[in-house]
Amino acid sequence: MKTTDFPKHAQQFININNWQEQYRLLMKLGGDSNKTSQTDKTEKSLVHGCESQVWLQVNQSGERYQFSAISDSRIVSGLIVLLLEALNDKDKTYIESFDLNNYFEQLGLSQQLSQSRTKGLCHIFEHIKQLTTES
Amino acid sequence: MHTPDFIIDFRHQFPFFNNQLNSPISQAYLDNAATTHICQPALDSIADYYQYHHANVHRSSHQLALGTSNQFESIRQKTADWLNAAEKDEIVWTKGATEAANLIANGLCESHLQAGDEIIIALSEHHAHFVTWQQLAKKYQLELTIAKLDEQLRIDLQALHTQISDKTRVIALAHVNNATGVKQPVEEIIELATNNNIITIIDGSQAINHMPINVQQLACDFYFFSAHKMYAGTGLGVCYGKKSRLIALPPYQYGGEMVKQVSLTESEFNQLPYKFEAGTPNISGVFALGATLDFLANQNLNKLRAYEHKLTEYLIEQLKKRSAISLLATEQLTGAVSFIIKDFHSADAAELLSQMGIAIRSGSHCAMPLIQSIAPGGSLRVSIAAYTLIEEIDYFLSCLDQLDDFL
Ligand SMILES: Cc1ncc(COP(=O)(O)O)c(C=O)c1O
Repeated sequence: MKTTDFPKHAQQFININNWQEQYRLLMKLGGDSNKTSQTDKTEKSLVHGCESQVWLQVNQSGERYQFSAISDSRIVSGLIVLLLEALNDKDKTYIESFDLNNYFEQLGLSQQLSQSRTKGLCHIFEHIKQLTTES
Repeated sequence: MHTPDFIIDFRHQFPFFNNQLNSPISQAYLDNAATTHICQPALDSIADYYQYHHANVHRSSHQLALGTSNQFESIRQKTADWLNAAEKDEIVWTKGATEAANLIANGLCESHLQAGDEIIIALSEHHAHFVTWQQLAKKYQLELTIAKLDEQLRIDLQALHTQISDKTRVIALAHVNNATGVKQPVEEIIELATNNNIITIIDGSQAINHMPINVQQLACDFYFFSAHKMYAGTGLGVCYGKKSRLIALPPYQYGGEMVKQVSLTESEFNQLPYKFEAGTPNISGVFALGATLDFLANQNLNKLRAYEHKLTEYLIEQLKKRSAISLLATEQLTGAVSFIIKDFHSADAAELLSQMGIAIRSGSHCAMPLIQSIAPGGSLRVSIAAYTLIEEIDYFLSCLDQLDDFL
């Protein structure tokens, strides 16, 4: 991915260089997403094994997937916005070969996030990949 | 308010803080309920042990080993005295509070309990105690009754009266809860239990660093805690049991030193407390605890504890002033204060505070049954020790006030 190829919010995130603004943006993205998201909070959509609760749903139109997901943690919801922005409207091959660590590294998030957060996001990503193989 | 000089002097004995005595304060370690920092004498004693006294205990009879074994046992005595246990043999070393909880529960299940017997455990227990009894209850077909809490998250004594039946054999509860900091009325509960011939197991992990413990006066059957919560090192637990109770328990693990005679088909187990101490124990950990107890014995503990109390009161008062904050409990708090912030998931608040140099715990604090029932998004827990500065609390509060900027 060239720098110019980043999705909107990711690009916004890259342009920030202090942790306060980064977190402010994550909290805002997460807060907005939690207000507007249509994700059903059901037992079925609950992703188990995360520190905070995460709900994830998938829709498929033709070859392409649309995911929606939210968390009760706004920071996690914000991170999910950044993640889904890169994965939505893509096909299975793209999603399967997507390099999550590299993406977060390019966003400058890797140093900022705790191990458990990173693990949680990997977990969500694994879940996403699984949903694409199931459907 | 400023931290008094005697606290600053006390703090100087903790090497962790040596490189951060400069002002202005830009960090605060407020996670003492998870673990306290180690005091210099304990650290020195670990080095000293490995450098000059390293030998296995209770095995070889050469001079070095004898000296080390004697010292090891003298620390057992010192620990018994610290807790006012009747005898040193009532002190069993474990690898931590968790192992002590498992040792006691497994032993009772094998020797004392029968299917259909009832165990009462508090909703507020740490998983170390809660999960242990939950799982053993399944395995041994015991009834697990959950003691109810009142508004202030203290065990509801009246309800407890009615929960006790003629099948109740054991009451297991923490002296002070780790998730809330609430001190439980253990004295009344132990009396009630003893009058009904019920065994009491008290988890003292969060009490040991904040109040004098007198096991004979408490008259509990078992009392346990981890050394790393009282300025000593990790990997060592203290499991007190009344002598008659310990004698009645079968060994927990098998191996060297816990046996007297071994033939091809039979083994005769060693006497107390060795029958519970299979394998080479955490000798350096015991030495560190010994040094910690000596160090503490030379402090004015009443003064330190009075300071801790004042600090906790100050923290509660300051938190109460903030309208977005709700405390889970406000009475009988000992060493820790637990709260939620309106519009903030506990993990988000803790993550932002961590960026500002604040070390506190968030989530369910290994007490999911309680926290999920009263604070589903988890709580934030600030926990102090006698070395905590008032300035650290103030720094924490100022960071807390900055959280709004992130909304
Ligand atoms: C009340 C309580 N019990 C048990 C434990 C478990 O201690 P350890 O992990 O040292 O075995 C803790 C530690 O957090 C605790 O707070």
